[in-house]
Amino acid sequence: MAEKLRVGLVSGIRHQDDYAAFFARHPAVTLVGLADDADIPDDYHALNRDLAAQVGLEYTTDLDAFLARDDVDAVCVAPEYARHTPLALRALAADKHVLVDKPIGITLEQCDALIAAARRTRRTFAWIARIGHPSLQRARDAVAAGDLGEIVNVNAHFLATYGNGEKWDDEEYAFFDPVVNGGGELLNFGLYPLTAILNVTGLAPAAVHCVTGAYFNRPHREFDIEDMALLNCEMENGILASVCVGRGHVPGNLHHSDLWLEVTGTRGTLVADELEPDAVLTGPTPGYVERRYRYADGMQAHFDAVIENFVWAVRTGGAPFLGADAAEKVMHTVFAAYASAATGAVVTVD
Amino acid sequence: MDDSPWVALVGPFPTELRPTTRWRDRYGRLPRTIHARALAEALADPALDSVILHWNLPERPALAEDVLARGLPLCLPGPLAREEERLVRAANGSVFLGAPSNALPAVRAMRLALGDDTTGPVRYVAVRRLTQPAPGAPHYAPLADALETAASFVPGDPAWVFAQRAERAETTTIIANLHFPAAEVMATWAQAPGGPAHDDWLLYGTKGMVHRRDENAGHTLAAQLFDHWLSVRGGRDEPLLWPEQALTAARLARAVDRSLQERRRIAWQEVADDG
Repeated sequence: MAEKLRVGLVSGIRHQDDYAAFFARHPAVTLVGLADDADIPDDYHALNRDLAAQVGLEYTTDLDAFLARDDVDAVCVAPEYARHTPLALRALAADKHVLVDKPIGITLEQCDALIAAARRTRRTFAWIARIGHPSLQRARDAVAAGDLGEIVNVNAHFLATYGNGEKWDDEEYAFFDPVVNGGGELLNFGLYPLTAILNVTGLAPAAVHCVTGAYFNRPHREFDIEDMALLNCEMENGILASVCVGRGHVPGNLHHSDLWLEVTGTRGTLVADELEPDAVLTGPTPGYVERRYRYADGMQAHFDAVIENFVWAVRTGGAPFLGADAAEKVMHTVFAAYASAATGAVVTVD
Repeated sequence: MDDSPWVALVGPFPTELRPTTRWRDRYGRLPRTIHARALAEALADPALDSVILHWNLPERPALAEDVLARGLPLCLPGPLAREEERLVRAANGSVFLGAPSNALPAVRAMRLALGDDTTGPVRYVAVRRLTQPAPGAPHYAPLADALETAASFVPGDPAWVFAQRAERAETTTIIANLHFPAAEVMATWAQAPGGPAHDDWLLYGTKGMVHRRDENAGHTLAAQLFDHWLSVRGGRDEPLLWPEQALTAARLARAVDRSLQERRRIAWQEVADDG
C-alpha cells in the first residue's frame, strides 16, 4: 500500500458530497477519482460531474476499469440507496477496502448478500451511520465503565427537522421514490438510533413491535412511505428499548439535535445528544456533569470520526466502528420492524 | 397538607383490616388532627369538609361510596377501581379525581403551546416516567395517567393500545403505545429502586414542539396537584381532570393489562364498551 491511502469515490448521487470533503482533507488520504456506471440517468451523471469538479477529481463512467486499478486501495460507495449493495459487492469483488453509505441495502436479501461478502473479504468493510459524535463515544465509555450500573431501559429519538411538508418538486423528490430509496424513514433513519444503541450499550433487539405513519410530508404520502416510525424493542438482555424516527419540521429535543439517546441504569440516566460534546449523567450516581456547550458543527465531528475510523481500520486491520456483524443486527431489526408494521405483531429479529 | 393554612387533617381512620399505628405516629402530633375509630364516625364530624381517599383499590370503593353518600367532595388518587368507575358515573361529575399529570408544569406548558397554535397539529406525544417501585400495583396508575394525559392532546379515540413489559435488576418497565389515525403516543413507565426519578414530556407537532423534563416530578406533582385541588375547592380554578378523563385512564389501564397478557394490540373498541 502506498504511503497514503488511495481512496476512490464510487458514485456521487446521494451523500458522497458530505464524505468527499472529509476524505479530501484527511492527511493520510489521497483521493484518486470518482467513478460510476455509464448506464445511469443523465441527471445522475450531472451530479457526479459536479461533485468531481468540486473536489478536483476526474470523473469516469467505466466503473469496472476504475475498480481494477492498482492505485485504488479503498472506495467510498454512496450512490442512490438502491445501488448501495450492488456497487459495494463489485468493489469487494475487486478486492478493495469498502466504506458504504447507509443503508447497506434496501432489502433484507441485499443486506445479507453484502454482509456475507463482507465476512469473506480480507479487506476492511465498514458502513456509515451517525455514531461518531463525541457524546455517543463518551456515553459508550461511561456504560462500559459501569457508571450507570445495570442498564434497565433505553430510549432513542431521531427526529429530523428537514421534512418537506407540502412542498412538491418532481425532480427533487425523486429520491423519495421507494424504487430509488428503498422505503421510508424507517429504512433511512431507523438505523441511526438502533446503531447508537448498539454502539453505546452493546445491545441489539431480539424482537420488535413497530407502527408507522405518514404524518408530516406530502412526498411520503404520495409514495405511500412512512415519515415516522415507533419501535418497541425487546432487547437481547430482556430490557425494553423505545425508538422514534421521523422526518418532521422541528427538532425533537431542546438542543435541536436530530439524534438523542437516553440510557437508564440502576445508578442514573445518561443522555447523549449528538450536538453536545458531553454525555450527561444525572441521578444518584456521583459525578453529575454540569458542563454543557454546543459544538459549532456536530456533523463535522461525526464525519471526521467515522472516516478517521475507516482509515485507521484499513491501515491497522482493526475492526471498524460498524462492520458486518453490526450491519446484520441493525438491518435485520429494520426489516423485522417493517414486518411488524405490516402485521401488527411482535416480530422476532432473526 | 401538614403545612397548609387552609387544611385541617381529620383522620386517618382505621378500618377493620389495617392497623393505623404508623399513621397515628405520623399525624398524631398535629393539634388539628382528630382521630376516629371508623370512617362512618369521621364522616359525621362537622369539621370535615372533604375527603382524600388514599387506600388500596380492593377496599377503597366501599369507602368512596360512604363519602359520596354523605355528600362530601371526594378526591380519589388514580386509578379507579372498577367499582369506583360506576360510582363516578353515578356521581355525575361531583368527584374530583386525582389522575394527576394535568397538574404538571410540563403538561400545562404543552396545553398553552397547543392553545396558541405554537405546535400545529400534534403528531407525537412521548412520556417517560421514572419512579420508585410501586410494589403490588397491578393498576398501572402512573402509566395510565400518562397515557390519558398524552392522549388528551390528540383528537378522537385511539385505534388500538399496545404494551410491553420487562423486568430487570429489580426494575419493572412498561412501554405502551396508542395509535391514532394521525398521531402516535408512546409512554414509558420504569420503576427503579433507588434509581432515577423524573418525568420527561415531548409534544411534537407539525410546526413546533414542547420538551420538558422534571427531575423531581414526584414532589412537583404532589405539590401542584394539591395546590390545584385547593384552588378548585376554593372556586378559583376549574378542575383539570374530569371524571370522564379518569374513566378513560381506567379504560387505558385495562387495555394495557390486556395487551400485556395477550401480547397483541388491543383495539380501543374491545375495551371501550365493557365498562
